Amino acid sequence: MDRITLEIIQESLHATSDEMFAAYRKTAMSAIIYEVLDMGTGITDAAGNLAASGAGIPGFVGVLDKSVKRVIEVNGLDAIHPGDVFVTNDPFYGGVTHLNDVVLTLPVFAGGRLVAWTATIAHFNDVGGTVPGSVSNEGTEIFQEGLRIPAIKLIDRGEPIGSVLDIMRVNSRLPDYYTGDLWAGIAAVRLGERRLLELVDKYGVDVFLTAVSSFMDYGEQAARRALAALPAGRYELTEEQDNGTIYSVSIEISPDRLLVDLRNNPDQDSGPNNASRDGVMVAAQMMFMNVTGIDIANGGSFRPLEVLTRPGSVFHAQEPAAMAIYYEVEIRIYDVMLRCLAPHLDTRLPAGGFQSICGTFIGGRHPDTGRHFTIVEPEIGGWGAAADRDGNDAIFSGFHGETFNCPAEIAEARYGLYVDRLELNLEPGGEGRHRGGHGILLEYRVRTDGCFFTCAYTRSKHLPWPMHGGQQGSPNYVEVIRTDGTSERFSVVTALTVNTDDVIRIHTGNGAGYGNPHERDPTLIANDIRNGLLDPEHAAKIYGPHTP
Amino acid sequence: MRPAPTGARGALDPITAEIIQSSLQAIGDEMFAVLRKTAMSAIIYEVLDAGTAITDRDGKLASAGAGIPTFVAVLDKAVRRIIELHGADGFHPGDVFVTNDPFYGGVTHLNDVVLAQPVMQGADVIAWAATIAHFNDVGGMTPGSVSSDATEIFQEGIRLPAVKLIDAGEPIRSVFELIRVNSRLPDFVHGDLWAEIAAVRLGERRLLELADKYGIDTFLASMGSLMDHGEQVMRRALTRLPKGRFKLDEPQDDGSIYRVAIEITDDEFIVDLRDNPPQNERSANVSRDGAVIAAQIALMNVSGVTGSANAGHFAPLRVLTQPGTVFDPSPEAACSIYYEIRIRLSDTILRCMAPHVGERLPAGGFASIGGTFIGGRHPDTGRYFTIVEPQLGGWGGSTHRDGNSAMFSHFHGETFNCPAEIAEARYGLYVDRLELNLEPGGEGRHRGGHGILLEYRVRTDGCFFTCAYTRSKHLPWPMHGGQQGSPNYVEVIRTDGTSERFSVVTALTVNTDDVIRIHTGNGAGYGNPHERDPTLIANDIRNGLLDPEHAAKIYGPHAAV
Repeated sequence: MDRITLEIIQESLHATSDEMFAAYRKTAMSAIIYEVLDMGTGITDAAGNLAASGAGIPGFVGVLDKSVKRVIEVNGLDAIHPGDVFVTNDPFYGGVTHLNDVVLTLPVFAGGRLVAWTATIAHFNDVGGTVPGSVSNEGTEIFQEGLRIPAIKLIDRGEPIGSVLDIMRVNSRLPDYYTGDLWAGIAAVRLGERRLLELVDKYGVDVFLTAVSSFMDYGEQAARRALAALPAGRYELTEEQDNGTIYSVSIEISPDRLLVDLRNNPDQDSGPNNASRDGVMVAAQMMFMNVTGIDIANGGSFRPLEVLTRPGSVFHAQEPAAMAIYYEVEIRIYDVMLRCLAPHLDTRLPAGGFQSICGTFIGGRHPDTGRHFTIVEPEIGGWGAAADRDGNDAIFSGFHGETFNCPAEIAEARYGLYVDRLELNLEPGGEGRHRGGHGILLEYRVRTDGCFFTCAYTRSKHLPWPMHGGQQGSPNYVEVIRTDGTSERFSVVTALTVNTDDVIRIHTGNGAGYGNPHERDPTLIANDIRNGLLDPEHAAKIYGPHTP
Repeated sequence: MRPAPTGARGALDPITAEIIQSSLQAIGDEMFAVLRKTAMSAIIYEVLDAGTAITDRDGKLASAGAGIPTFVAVLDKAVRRIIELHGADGFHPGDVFVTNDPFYGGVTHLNDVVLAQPVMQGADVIAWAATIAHFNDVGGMTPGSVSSDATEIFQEGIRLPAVKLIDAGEPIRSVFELIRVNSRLPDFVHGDLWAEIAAVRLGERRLLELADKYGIDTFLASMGSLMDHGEQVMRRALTRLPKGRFKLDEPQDDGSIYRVAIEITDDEFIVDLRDNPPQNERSANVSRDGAVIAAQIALMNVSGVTGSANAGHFAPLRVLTQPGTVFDPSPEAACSIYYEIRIRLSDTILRCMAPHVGERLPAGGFASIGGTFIGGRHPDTGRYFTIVEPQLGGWGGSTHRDGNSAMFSHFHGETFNCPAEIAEARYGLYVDRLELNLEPGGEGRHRGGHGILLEYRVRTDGCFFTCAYTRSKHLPWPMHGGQQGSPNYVEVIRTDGTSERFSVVTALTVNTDDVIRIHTGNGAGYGNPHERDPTLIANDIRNGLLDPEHAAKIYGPHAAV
């Protein structure tokens, strides 16, 4: 087979994913999708193996192959036809994450043969359930977290199933947005189908299929090559979490396999701090990418990765576990895996960052329109320092990838609150030969009474982990400052009532430092002082006598 | 659609019409029997928390079928909403629709799942067969789905907004899956749903047989004449009622005040509910359709019309509500506890009219659904169970006789309490006691009926208990000098001997050997206790229902028999 053609097809798959992403973004109704880009797109082969990792949040793209596999399993190939679109949001039915993330997937048929799937995932602002915004720290069963959609058909041979659309719509507190976002996703998977069929038309179905499978084989080879270069051995780490539980990981690296054993972990949480096995697999896949340094993510590149979990544990929760805060559980185990391996991989991995999604939920009546609004927002924070440079300031966590924070103008118009402040967090923490990046300080002031505020931040007690003598980072937390001047500090709270002119002040952590602060280049210290990032007095205390 | 042959009605042979009308009743009963025999949940097959009905092609109630009166009255409203939402697309033989949403024709709360099937001859709808049944769990924030703490309908379970469940005979798998997976008891929900499908399909078959046998014109004409007759009967009854405007304000246990104004004219019975509290922030709301049902039932009682109700009977009824109030809440309001609001409304209407309709109406009864929810892990099977149960209580005394003891409220009609053996096997708890409630209250010339005392003892830790009883502070109302009845309430007695009293509580944790002791009220008395027939007093004492000392105190010197 002609290598150039294969390469073109492979790149076209990426381009198609990107175009699906653009279509979703441009047609979605909710800012969480079109501004924050809390979404992902991907393409799989006929069996649901990831063919093109597409665009969007890495933690989301990794969901889609698992969704497709479950759709096939639940519906059976006989019930899958051209023009069908399937939908799931249920972690126990291939939805992987929590009920807010709605996955759409469409089987692509060429000449009556199933050749691929296109798929999208996006965060929907409200899917019903006990609390507005659907995400609650207090859920104890998934039934409380919104409408469960169990990998069912939404569109039957091109014909939308009205009953399903109506049920989904009416079970959301924001039915218009829900419907609009759903159709945006449908547009995206249909666009993907069209592009893939063009590709098949142009090159023929056999060449297309060969290209997809050879790309996976190539991914596998690249992964195995990278694995062989890693230090073989068995590495273990246990880490206490902010909520007092202890997460343990054991990773065994051999030339042809990376085995992650998560079986020795706590029973599933009676609250919503659980992850599905699929979700933990996504975390392990991301770690695998970081550790091997390969830049291909597909069904082939993950073949050497094995993950062991124990059903009924926090990393393999069983029905009817609540799952709303799955993302903090996944990012924590992702971070634990990196921390476990970092000391053994020379200088490849940086020190620990703020590493929390810092999911922030604010809602209430819009003061101008009277309609209900819900902000759903991850927060940006500081990354850990690396061997060769300071950590990034004010970037989304490793789980988030290519997302953006919501511009203040959009937030103020859409949500009817004030964004009083957004600046770098200058609290101490994260100093080192290379320092961690700075977190942020963000202030929202609400404009109506009876709004709610919910958050679930981790790395608030147990701080970002340093390397080689650096300082640990600073905590993620929120202060709620009332109009009478009193204030309270939170890292986890559900549906706290906030009223007109109450301020929600968000602090995200600085990443941890890398190397002894005394070895820091005085020019870098001087730069930090000149840029107002560092107090000269504090500098002398931390960086030692050679501070300029 | 073919025009109804109204012109032919006059020529209708009355015997044939009567046969068809009775057949409609029989079909409703047969549907009920099928639902009962095929349902998986005891709340349906034992308690009979279900109803069936047949409407004409426009959704007007043709035959009140069987089951809980207030459930039957839901079904015409559900059918009309389905016609409103889907009529433009046309219907097909074999279609079945489902709703449970009070704002989409479901009327009550999300636990009550309504199915309706158009009965079609060719392209024409000639009637509808419909069922309603209480499902034990439809998801939501609390097991059992009913919560007095809910503040929005989104917290009360999956909303099914009058959508198609079966398309021209073909089940829509996606909808079945959504319904199943959103319940904590998926197998039961699935089984109960198919039981309802079997019932509406049977209704369809029987109605088509009837139409085939007598011809469609005669079939339609009979249905029309049935309603005409109902209207005539009600209008005649109306002429015998006192004319004027009658008002009553009644304070409720939760501190709010419900106000009814009833205006009776020669041709209208108007229930004006506009001046009522804003909708409840929690789940103590009833949809406008539900308020209409309360008025319909009160109208049947007040007018004294007997027999099976149909749309004609309600032609003279007009109900006025104010959107945004507890009797006509906005579409996101929680409605879990709608049933207590509705029975309170009905009771208030009766209380308002009782003094004005001679001796027709009895004194007030315990008049609460007594909705009781207990759930947890079954100690023998490890599976999840949920009890959903109304309670029996005492009815008010009337001019002719003592009130009934230990009956469901008048909203419940032909339902049964769950036998102890079934409860113990199905739910894995003990029923330690079920006896008449002998607390004082309800004495009179004719005394109120006795409530009950029922004890459940749970066998596993971490069970939950939820209830929402009314008439716990403001007691059943007496007439003509009788005593008021006694309260509805629950004691939860812990293994350490401590106990707490509730009338409204959500998801209280109860553990092994904790006892839930349910007291339901005695109905109120009718007439001065001193005028009570000494033989009746003696009977009560002999039957162990009355303490002789208390008897002397209440019934006066002649009580000493």
